[in-house]
Amino acid sequence: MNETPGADEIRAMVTRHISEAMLVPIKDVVPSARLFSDLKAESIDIVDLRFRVEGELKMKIDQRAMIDSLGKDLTADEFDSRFTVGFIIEYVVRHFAADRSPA
Amino acid sequence: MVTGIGLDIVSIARIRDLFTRHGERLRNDLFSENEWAGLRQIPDAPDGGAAALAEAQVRYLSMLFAAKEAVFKAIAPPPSLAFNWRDIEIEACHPVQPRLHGELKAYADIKGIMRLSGGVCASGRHAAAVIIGETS
Repeated sequence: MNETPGADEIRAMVTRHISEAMLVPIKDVVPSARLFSDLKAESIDIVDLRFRVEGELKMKIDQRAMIDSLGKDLTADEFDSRFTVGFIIEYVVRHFAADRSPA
Repeated sequence: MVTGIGLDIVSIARIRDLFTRHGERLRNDLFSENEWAGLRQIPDAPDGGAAALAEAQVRYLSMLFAAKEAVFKAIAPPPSLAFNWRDIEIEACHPVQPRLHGELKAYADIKGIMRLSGGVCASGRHAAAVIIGETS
């Protein structure tokens, strides 16, 4: 991967890492897929995914900020329905760009 | 009164793969210094880093992780709670003695959970733990 990948490159990379970390076929890693209910992610898979993405993009993902961005005081069902492949991908794209923006 | 029961089973091979892939970063993210110190008491522990663990060490870490996950499930905090894996420190495995930190501890206190107890074991390919949370 180039030093400064574009958004589409990042989307493809995160999709691949989700597939590998969750051990699911890449065809199932669609934006609407819920990580827990649809892809059957375990908490250890989420840790693996975060490290894979951080390592490849040389960025730090603030887990708390990411969870907060889903919304406040969510029920478990609300959290599950919002914690999707599309959410993760776009969060990474947005924050990768923000990390590299001039101050 | 029982407030929650947590059960977790983790693949030992999965934990080994993660340490091979992520090494020190995983160690620092999941385990406290005290927990890591316990690893050094296991016979034949190599002097290598987190990516070069002996089988007995991987088994031990798998049990620790299963116990942490079971404690988390027994407490069942809301998704918005700020949590990291070091907020659950496993001080002993037989029986499991967890110590809570951070917002998870505050939440358990609010919920009135006075006691978390249970067991953990590893056999063959998996480590498993069960934890019961009680108000008294």
